[in-house]
Amino acid sequence: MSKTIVIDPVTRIEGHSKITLYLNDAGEVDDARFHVTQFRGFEKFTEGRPFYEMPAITARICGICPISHLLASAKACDELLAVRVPPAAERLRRVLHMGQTIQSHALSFFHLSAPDILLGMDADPAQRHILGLAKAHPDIARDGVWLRMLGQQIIEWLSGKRVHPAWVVPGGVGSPLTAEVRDRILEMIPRGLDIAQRALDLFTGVLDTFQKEIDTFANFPSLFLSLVTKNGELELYDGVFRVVDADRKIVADQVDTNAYAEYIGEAVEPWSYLKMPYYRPNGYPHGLYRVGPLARLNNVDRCGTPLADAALVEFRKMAEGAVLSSFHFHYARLIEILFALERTRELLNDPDILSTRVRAVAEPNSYEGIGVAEAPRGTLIHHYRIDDEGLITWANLIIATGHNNMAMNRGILQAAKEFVHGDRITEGALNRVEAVIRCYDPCLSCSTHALGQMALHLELKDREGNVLDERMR
Amino acid sequence: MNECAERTGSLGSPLILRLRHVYGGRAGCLDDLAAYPKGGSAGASPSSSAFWERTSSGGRRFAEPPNAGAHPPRPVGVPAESSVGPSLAKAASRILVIGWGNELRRDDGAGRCVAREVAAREWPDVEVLDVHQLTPELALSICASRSVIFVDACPVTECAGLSVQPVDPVGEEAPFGVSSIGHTGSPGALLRLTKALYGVAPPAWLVAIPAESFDAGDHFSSTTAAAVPEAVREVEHLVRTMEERFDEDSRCKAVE
Repeated sequence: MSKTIVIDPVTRIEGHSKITLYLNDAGEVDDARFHVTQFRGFEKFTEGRPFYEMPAITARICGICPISHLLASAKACDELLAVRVPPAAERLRRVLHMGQTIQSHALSFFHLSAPDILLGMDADPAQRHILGLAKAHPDIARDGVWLRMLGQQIIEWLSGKRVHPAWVVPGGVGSPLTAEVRDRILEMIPRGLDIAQRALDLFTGVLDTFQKEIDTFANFPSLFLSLVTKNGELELYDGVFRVVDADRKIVADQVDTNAYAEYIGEAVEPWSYLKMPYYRPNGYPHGLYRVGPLARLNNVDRCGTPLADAALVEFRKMAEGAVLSSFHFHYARLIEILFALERTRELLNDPDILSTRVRAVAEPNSYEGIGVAEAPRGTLIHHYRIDDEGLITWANLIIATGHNNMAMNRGILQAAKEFVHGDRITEGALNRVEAVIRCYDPCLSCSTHALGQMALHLELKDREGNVLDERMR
Repeated sequence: MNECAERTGSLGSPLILRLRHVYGGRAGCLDDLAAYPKGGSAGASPSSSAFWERTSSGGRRFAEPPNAGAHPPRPVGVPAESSVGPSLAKAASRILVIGWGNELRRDDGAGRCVAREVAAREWPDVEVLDVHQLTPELALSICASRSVIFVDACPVTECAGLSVQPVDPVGEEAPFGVSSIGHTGSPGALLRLTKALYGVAPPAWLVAIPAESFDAGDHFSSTTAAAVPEAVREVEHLVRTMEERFDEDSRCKAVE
């Protein structure tokens, strides 16, 4: 008789989800589903709102990555205005985005995943969290707190608030940068780089002990999608789409972001509120692709900053083609922290960064606008249409976690086949299945646009739907 | 240099969100409450809280939180005040007010409204944080403070009226489940993190505001609207009492 395991809720992620594992008649895991069980509906309730409210409204989708929503939304609004954002404003937006990347990646690595990596996948769950980490490795925990504070501080100094600032506006930013703030941020960069480099060394030093996880945590061939610069470098704010395959062979390149719908389709499944984006030329469900730090590093020719490029060389040695294991999202995230810090310094050292011309003012000149940015978790797309009054008539949001939905489902199945045996769920198996999801650092509140607690529910069911075992956190 | 000293020394203490400079969001949100009756009509009087003690003269004094007694706290690795100059000494004399919640979830934003009202009063040596969530890096701000006042909404099913309670760092045995520090945290977990990382957990209190509705929306229920001004007064009372205590401690040290 086939059986099913359900993990509900999934912990140390943002949002609420449930995992169901289906066992076959032989008692082996046969299928897995990652259900996102919350719904928010931003795309619908923004209809009728003035377009200029969209950055502030959509930033409320998430308390962790509001800046990415703010930027993608503002970029879509720039298109509605049909204006060119002043160069200094674009640089300031980029600095803000670097702050966002630093704080979000620091949270993901140091606070959410480091307990697994440094305390062990099988460690007592009562200790396997940030406070357990603080006890066992206080220096690392302090590093994490400081690095996240740095990212948050950059956001606050630029925009006035750590969360949900209204500083980014259609056409630019609300106010110019002062030399004092620029210098304060620059003062902090060296320590941030030391911490990031130390974390990278620490992580690569323990990689050997996670070979089984590397082999089984969503380690399969897939496409990878991200923005890159026109010359193939790492790009988080603007650029063009590139898609590579498992061999790192370029499948699509220099794709204008306004053509996203030609390349990305969106399927839905009745068992989840999270949509299933797919690479349209390959159809659904064959068009599985991944986004986020791992995809970005697989896609780029180089990062474009010295320390990150040096780290990328080492990263690339792990595979002849693309690095396929989702366990290495962590590795890629640490390299991106280095990149974000280096890029911040570069941007702030540009004399034009202090220019007072930071906003282009116009009335709407277009009925449609698309804004794309690389959020910490991956590609983020905002697409709006407005009427003659400037009111939103239609909105489509494709969020990073949504892009990775199919990959997360497949990764859970792979890990469950390796670590779940019989009709009972062990703590180690439970944590490893969860850890596959945490590799993607999913933000379910964003992707479904729901507000919920971080939680996991794992259920084990037979083919008839009878629950054989369940675990909750 | 220790993080606490850095935050207030070489960087000139700009790391705290100084709302008097960047007053944003629902500015002057008490004005939004004008339609509601003001005063202490909502819930129980703070004097009925176990936190408050009646004095023989009919006044009231606040009870010691269990983690009180280290005024000002000295973080791990930070030299004694006399050798670190005025910056840290100033930081250690600071009272930190943290109001948090989701302003798009009706009453859940009450703590932030109180925070902004407190910030607008520009009390000396009081720093205010108006945040969406309690996140780990707040440990840095907490460790640099003499005491902390958390302000949050509390469902009426748990809080019949406004309450003021001491907050302890959660114990080693406390379970860390879905509400523990991940993307969000609790005051007790944050204090425990602060203590684990920096060796200090300053005395802390929670001002809990009764909340009826956490539905989508940006206006308060009548219960919460009435409780917000009262919460501001309670924060003021806590701050004044702490300042008096701090002055007394300073005089005692001078005599010693």
